[in-house]
Amino acid sequence: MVMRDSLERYAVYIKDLVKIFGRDVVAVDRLSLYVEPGEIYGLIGPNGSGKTTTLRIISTLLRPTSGEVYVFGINVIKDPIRVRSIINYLPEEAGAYRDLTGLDFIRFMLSLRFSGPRLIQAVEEAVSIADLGNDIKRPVRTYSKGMKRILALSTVLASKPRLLILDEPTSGLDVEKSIRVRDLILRYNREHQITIFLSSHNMLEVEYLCRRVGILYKGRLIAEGSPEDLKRITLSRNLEEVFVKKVAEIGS
Amino acid sequence: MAVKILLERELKLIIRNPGFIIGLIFIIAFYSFIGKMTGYAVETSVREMYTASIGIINRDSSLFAQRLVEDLNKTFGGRIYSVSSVEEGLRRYGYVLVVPENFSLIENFTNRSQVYLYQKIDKIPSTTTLSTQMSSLIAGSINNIIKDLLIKMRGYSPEVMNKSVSVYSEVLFRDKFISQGVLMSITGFSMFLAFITAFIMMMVGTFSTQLMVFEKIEKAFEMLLAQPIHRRDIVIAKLISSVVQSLLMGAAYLIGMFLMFTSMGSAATSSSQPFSSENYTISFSINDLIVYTGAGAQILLLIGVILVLGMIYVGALGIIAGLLASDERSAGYVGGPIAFFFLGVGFAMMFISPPLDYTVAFISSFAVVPAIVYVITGSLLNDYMFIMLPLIGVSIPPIILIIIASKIIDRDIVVTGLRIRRKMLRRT
Repeated sequence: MVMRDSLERYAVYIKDLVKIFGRDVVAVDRLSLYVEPGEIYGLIGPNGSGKTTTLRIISTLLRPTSGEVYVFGINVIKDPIRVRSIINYLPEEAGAYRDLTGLDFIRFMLSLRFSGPRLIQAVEEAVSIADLGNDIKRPVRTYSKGMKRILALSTVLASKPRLLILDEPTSGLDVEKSIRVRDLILRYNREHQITIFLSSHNMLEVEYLCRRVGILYKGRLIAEGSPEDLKRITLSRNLEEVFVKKVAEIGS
Repeated sequence: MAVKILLERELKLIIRNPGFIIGLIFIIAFYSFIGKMTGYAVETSVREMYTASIGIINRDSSLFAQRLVEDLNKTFGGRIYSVSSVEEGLRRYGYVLVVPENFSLIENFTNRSQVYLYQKIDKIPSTTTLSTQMSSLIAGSINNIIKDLLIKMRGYSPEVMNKSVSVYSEVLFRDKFISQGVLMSITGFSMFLAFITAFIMMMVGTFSTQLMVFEKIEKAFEMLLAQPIHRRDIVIAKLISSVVQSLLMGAAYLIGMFLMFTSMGSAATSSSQPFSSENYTISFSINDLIVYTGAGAQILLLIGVILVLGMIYVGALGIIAGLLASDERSAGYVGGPIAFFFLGVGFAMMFISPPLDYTVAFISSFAVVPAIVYVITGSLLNDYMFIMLPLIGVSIPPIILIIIASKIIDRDIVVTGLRIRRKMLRRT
């Protein structure tokens, strides 16, 4: 049993997490992992492996069926509002309100966390991150998918949470915008010591960004470690090969 | 603080939505059209006269009065029956016509010449335009018969007879005699209020469902749920926002309704002209409501309270529908029937007459619209149970629904929707 004092040392601490939808649809199956403060941790796995469900539970959007989840020592079930005050969450395909301008959207989202000079500062920072020029004053309905993604990302980065949860941060983006998003993630992690917990299909991206990686398959964590360690142990050239070999191991 | 911020955002979303503006214009145009259609229907119903029998008490023993009754019976196809008292006639036939003493002695039948028509109503009056038509029919028939009789029996010249007999109508409403004109005015006004309430409520339900579902469609909902705010604040902001939207739309609706009733009123007046009824017209008088219900201006306050409670009630229902829906289509499936239910109730109240029963008053008030009609009726009859029970009935559902909505928004189903995702792993 990990004591509460030691739980606070982890940005995320998950123990025997189970999530069952309905009667028998198991999304997450006895998942245990931890994320250290300041690191970038990546969950990889195919569709339906339980990545998004895990992130939603940490973000207090879903309740676990059983198990324990702590964010900097705070129980996500017992004290969700405190958890939300130190995290921020960028869902997969996060959008924005069509009839608001980009600036209004940034101001709205950040005003739920900050007020006064701190709000003004955060809004300016988000506008700077988004880097949309005059488009920031146009309605979101005129934005491309990439612009919306950057806009949503800018609000969560500018809020400078202790833990930032990103679900498929570059999903559907072109190469140029994907690189920009990755650079922003790395920059805020290094400059502001923001712990990042992300999920991705893109294993090369995860390899590039993350210090440690967890591979989820059918709701279970089938491998975990640094990308280099995982490649070395499985004699693989990249994480994709690691994934294929680990899945084959389970199958056999 | 969170509510204020959420509300500001909601209002921006409303006023920047072109669909909302188009909706305002559509409602005005649509209800003007409905007014013309309803006017046509009223005109048709006026032509199709009833086959109701009428009890008659002739207190004028003159030959003139006897001939009047005989000719009236012929005009009504033999449906006039002599009765000994108003009470007996009302019990047996529902209508009683009284020809007063010395009726035929009045020189030239001046405007002061009156017959009396009584009607019995044991339920809440609805489209009592029917009884108005009966009054008009009797008035017109009597005037025509009297003209004939004056010419035949007294040798009057038709040119000098520009006076007419009027029909003074009273309604025995449960155990209270009320002037038909006043009852018509109050009933008409209560129907008008009931329908407006139903419509505004329908809009609240639709708007609140939309507000919740569009939050999901625009894919910012999960980001919002992850913010450090109480989720019940989201419910409250949505609720207030949908009520504000509905009040704006309701104002447009009022304009449309006035246009509609203008069309209806002119159609009804033109169709009743042949009967020369000059005493009773359909009117919607706030003054009558205040003066005759005995509740004073408080009646307007009571109606306002019911309207607001109804809006919160349906708004909460719509929010629950939106919270449960996984997309706009499923929201439409849930929200549509809710909206049309309340509109249907409002429309039905114009045609059905619910019984004067406490239990029915309480239970039917869960549908909000009947509460308005019962509260007005209770004021009219000085029966406070018909005021208190509907108020209690209409207060219970919104409280329960807000609590339910606040609980639901903390549940997984808000994120997953009613549809279970196929990509979830199935345990083998």
